[in-house]
Amino acid sequence: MRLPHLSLTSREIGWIALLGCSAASCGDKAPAPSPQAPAAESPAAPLTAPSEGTWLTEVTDASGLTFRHVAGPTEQRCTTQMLGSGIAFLDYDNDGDQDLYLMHAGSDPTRGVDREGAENALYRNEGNGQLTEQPGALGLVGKSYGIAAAVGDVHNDGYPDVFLTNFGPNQLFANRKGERFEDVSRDSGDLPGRFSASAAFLDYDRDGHLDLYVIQYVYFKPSQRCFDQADRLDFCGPTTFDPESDILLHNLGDGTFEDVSEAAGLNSAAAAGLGVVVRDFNDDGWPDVFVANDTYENHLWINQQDGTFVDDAVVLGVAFNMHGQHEAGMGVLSEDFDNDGLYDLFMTHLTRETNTFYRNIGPGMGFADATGQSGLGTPSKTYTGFGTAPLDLELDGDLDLVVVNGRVTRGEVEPPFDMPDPWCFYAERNLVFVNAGGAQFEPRSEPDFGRLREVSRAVAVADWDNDGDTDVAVGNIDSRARLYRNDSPRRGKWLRVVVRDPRLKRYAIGAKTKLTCGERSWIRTVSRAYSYLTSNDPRLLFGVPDEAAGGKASLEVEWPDGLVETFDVPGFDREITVLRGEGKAR
Amino acid sequence: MKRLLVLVGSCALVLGHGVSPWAQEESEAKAKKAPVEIPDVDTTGMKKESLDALRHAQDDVRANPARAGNWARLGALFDARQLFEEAERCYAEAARIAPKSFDYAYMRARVADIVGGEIDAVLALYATAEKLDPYYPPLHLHRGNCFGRYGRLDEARQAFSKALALKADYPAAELGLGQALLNLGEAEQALTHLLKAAAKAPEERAVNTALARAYMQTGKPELARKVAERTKAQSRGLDDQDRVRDEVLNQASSSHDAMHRAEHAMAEGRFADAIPDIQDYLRGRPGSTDVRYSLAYALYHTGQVDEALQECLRISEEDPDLLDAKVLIAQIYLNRPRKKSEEALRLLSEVLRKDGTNFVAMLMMANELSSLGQADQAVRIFERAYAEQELNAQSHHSWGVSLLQLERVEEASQHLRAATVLDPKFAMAHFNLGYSLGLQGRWDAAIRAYEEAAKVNPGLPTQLRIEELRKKQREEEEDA
Repeated sequence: MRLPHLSLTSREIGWIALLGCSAASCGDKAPAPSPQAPAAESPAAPLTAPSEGTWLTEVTDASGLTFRHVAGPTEQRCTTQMLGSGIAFLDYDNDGDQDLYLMHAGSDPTRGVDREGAENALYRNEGNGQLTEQPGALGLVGKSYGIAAAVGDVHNDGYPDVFLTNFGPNQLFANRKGERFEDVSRDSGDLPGRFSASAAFLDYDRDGHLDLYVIQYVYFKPSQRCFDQADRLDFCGPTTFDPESDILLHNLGDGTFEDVSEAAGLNSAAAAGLGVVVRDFNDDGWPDVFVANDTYENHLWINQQDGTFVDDAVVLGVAFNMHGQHEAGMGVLSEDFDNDGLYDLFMTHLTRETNTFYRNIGPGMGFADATGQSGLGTPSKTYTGFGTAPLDLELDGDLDLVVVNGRVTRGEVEPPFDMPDPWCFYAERNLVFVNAGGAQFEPRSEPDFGRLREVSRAVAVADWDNDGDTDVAVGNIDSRARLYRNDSPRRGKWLRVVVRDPRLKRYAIGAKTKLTCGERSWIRTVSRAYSYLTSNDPRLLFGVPDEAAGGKASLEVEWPDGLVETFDVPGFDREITVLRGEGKAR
Repeated sequence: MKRLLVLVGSCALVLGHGVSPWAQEESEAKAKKAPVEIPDVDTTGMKKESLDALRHAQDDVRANPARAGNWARLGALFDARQLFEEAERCYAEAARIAPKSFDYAYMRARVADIVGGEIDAVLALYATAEKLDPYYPPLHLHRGNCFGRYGRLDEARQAFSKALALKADYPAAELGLGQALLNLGEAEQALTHLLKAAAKAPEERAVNTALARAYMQTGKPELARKVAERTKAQSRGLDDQDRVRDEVLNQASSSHDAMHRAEHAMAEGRFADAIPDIQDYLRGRPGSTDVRYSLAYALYHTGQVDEALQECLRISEEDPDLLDAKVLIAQIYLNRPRKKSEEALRLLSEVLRKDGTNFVAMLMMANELSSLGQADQAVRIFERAYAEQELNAQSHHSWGVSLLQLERVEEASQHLRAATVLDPKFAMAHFNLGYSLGLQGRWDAAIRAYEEAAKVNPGLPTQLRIEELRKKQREEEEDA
């Protein structure tokens, strides 16, 4: 309010100068730097440790990756656009290296049917650092507004199939001997879903056939308009719409699926889900499902071993953060970050929330929100995190993290960015966190990975160049996808493990492994589904510090059907394949 | 979008003449001061009412950037819209201007905490607020939450305990302490505090979530599941009972209508109409000294001088930086039948020490000094005032009279003439102009000035003066 003035004439004469201007668009205000331009430091740069060279080197151009994401016109600010689209690493032709599949969203975010100019892309990994785009994505063509990709051999024929989630009908593609993909959605039984997000293949009933857990987001209404806190038109958040409950599709073993969501108990809880990870959280040998929900409490569906699930997220301490608040769950992953033999959980969230690290405190005890102790809270609070992936960057035996970011509400534009209006208002840097041991993380300034501000969503990981460390692919809304090669200085050896069940002709999804070297051990589970909207390399990659790599090493595998076997590890810096039935049974 | 910056730095407005060396120095000194940025955001597509509120608050800051309350109110507007970076800058400026204000220091710390600033910086801000008021329980609650977020659980426990020591019935602090203990592995102790919180807030999800975990970790899974069921219900969120933050944000809330009506009424001089709206706005916001000053001003102009004085004295005690309140007190002192000239001048000197460009204070002081016969000082202050802004007829008159006392007759004539131009019915100005012109031997002009004075006020002793002038005029002609 104004205050009255005592004098009859104006009391204060102000000298006012306007600097700059209110910019309605950003694309013409700050020219985008060339993709390989040197990094420009900004006052808003994250808290970072001193950089020692480039650990993640961008090889987007060098590899021939030319994909530029299409999200469609933005005048209406459709929520569908804000989710971004998926990325999948898969060896579709079984030639031993990970190929790359990238999804567009589409050109019509309100209806999700028109894909003109937005065809998904399948890049073949030539094994020499080059990617070659395959014509027509070999038939792996999305028909709706694309969201996520899940990979799994649903037919047990030795070739990975692909399930696409969409705003619109979901699609299942059968891999025909690595030569082409065939849309078998019509012949696959129930494939419901209106607005799905991440999806995960799992064998929840241990019958040897990969089932599908499909996250559902909300009942989206294209006509809905939303405004940000400053009353500007913006993308609607999930609470604007009614939430949906997730879908569980049971693989009947004949190439068809049955929707068993209700029978499994999933319909009891509706929430705006985004991320999913499957682990045996209660160590009973049956896969459980953790779902990161956006602005709703998370779900931890504990497998009751009878085809049903019970949500124990609250009692196990992962429904809410330590303050009892739900957060905007986006990406999620579950690994043993403190090497105590228990799977922890890490989730990405909105700005002003922390990305949250839940430390597993023991069977039956649940989890403790250890975000503060982990060092992952402070640097994340000013970012909106989406995709996240674990990787042992420098092979020291501790899993590090990458987190990709991009706002969901309009913010300020800060160069450097490389994207059109209005996405520049949502752009943020991506982050790397190095695990100093015991799940104590330190942010690391990365000249390439943290260089540009983009609206990043999906991040997928694979040993793309088969050199024994994990590389990273990032999907950005309405701009280029990027590929980063791991060039970290190595502090140990590596062991890549292919865990296959020859009876099923595929990766033993859900198999739990434990690598032991002397007194040290590491656990991993065979899985592709984690992070956000992505599918990842199913081969297990262990980093073993030099001091632990000298002694005898063995690998214990608990197969999804409960069989436990031990395999000798003949050495490091190599890939080994372990097959069910060929180890020493316990 | 580029950030929009509005630079403010008040400087002397040069009106072509009469700029004193003092004013020039002042102007240069101000030019050297770093400009203060008024935060702005991209307002493209912003709703009109929000934009109006924002622009209004920015205008207030621009009009008086030395007023902490203006910055705080703008900060609250940003704060309420979750534009925390901008809010923090405003609160920081408010806290800089009024370093003894707990509210501003606390709001700055809270926003820095919400934004997720570096922990040591946030804790330092909380420490600053704590020095100003160590007995505010929510401060310790939020410090505890801050420590908890960063995994400093022992310190979190201490902070929550302190909050509880200050306010025993504080479920939010019981919850915080329970959560800290739970994360420290002291589940049994945690359970005790969480049960206390649950007794006060049985439906709160945060409480029940923590309680379920505590039951689980103390080997009571059945109780854990039972409590977990309660978390399915919607939660309002546990009240942190943060009165300070609520009040500051409320000031920037949508209830500006009453104040807008009041402002409009006051601008039109309808002070009596403004009073109920201001009182309505103030209901539940006793801490708003700015608005209380508006009320005092309206009371003063409706003849409720004692009430206005008492309110201004209280405001001045609570918010020493609200200089307008001191100026109004001085005005009341000077307008009383038994003038409290000395106290008024002390107040005005205080105002001018803090704000050397306060025009109203300068004028009041100069006029009073002039009436006390302290012409030399009065003239110096009139010069300073004139460097800031154009003067009204009364001030030109007083300035002219002071100059007459100093025998600076020609200058006096200029100001007395200015007074008559600005107010042709200002009889005393015409009269004194006549006197000053007479001293210069400008007989005709002096006679005309006396005649003008007589026209406006026939009661003035002009006739004798005119006759005297005519006599002198004749003598001069005869000598020639």
